[in-house]
Amino acid sequence: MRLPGRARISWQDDSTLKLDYDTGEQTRLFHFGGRPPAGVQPSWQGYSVAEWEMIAPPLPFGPGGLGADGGGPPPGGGPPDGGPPPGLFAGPRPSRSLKIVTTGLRPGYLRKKTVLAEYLDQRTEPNGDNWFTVVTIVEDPDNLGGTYIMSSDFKKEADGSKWTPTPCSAR
Amino acid sequence: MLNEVRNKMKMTLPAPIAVMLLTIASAPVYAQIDLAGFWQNPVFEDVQERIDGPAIGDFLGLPLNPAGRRAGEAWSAAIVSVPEHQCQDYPADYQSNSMWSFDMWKEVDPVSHAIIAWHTRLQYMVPERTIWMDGRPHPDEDAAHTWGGFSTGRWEGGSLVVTTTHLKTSWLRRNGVPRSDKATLVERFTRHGNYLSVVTTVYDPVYLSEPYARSRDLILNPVGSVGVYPCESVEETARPIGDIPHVLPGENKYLTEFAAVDGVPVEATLAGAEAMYPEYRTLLAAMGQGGVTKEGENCCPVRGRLLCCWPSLPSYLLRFF
Repeated sequence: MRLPGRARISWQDDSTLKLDYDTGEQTRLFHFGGRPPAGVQPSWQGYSVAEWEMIAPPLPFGPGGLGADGGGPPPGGGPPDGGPPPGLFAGPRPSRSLKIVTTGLRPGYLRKKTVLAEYLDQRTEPNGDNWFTVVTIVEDPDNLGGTYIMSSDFKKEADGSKWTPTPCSAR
Repeated sequence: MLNEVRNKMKMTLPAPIAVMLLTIASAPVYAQIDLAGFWQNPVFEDVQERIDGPAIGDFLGLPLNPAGRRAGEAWSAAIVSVPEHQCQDYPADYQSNSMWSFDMWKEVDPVSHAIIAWHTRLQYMVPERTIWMDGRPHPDEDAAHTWGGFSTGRWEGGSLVVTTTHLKTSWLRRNGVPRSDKATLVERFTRHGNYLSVVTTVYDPVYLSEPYARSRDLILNPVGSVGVYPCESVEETARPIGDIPHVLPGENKYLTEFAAVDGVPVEATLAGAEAMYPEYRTLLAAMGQGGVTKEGENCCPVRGRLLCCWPSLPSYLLRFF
């Protein structure tokens, strides 16, 4: 997802989110509710386990308190958070961030011990555009002295007319 | 499922145990929204731009409109040697995009314990920003414009969304790519464990054809410190009083240097938003890039390298080839 290209996201089934990428024609599957099964063969895309990040219950504070939506909408208007009203017994609620942990990556640019943690953070801009930022955190003890972190930004398009599957080619 | 667990606990268990079990039942990950701490900027991306500094004429990846491009072309690097600019703060929209780290802390009402504001302090020049969380409105348009602007915040889906207005005219990139004082900055601070994602989107009706979004990622450093940044301006060079370094339209002879050295079509550096999207590669291919091996009708040598001179290249640039 670091190459210039477009992502297409859809539900493959009730517990699997599919992300297709047109540049290189790769497909990633994000599996909800579980751990990687035993004996998964290493692959270029690895095995990804996904879960929505949850927001802790809002505290019964006034505007600006942790979990409260204070400060008013941005110029041009933005969507309200839509969460439940603050209350002592309010439960956790999903954020707009999807956490994905990928293991079982085939050795490539990084080595086989690589663990990939990603966060897909959704947002709606004041002008109504929908975006997600993918934050990629790479742990590779064989090759890296520390964490390698980077991010890329994707803007949602009105339709799929610009979707251009293009196989990888070498020259 | 979670509601079922919660209801059963309400019916049968003492409250403290119920709370404990509820915590366990809702185990997965909780977006941490205490943003306080020293956030280290690792600069894993765009190192050349953020540390060395971008080249003059490097307008790639920016949705500049013609006015923005013209302002960028008029920029002279000598401006940073003017005493009034030597100790200038970074504007709010550039702070997280710079190579510098910052501290972040909250200001709490001593009685209600509600968060009144978040503050940040950048290592470079140590400017302090205030992000008001108490619902106050932005001031009148005629109020003072500053490098940090006026910021208000609100929580949205686990992210602190900050809206900043009243910014002084400044730049998006340190090579003079402009950002006007009419711009609005929208930032999102999202914490994932010990990582902080900061996404900045600049809306500038003067110099941009569409919003400009950037994302940066910082790492919590429990022993980090902003420290001090003493800066004293001096006369670095003799220049007439009131002289402001700039380049007149059509006279910037360095504009094409970046494209030549990096092997980028000049056209791409001037294309604005069009060059930001994947389909621009198709256009590049149609222009003949990648397969250019000899001088031809549309290509010419520039400092030992071949560069295609597109028909739509502004005539004032062509004369530098």
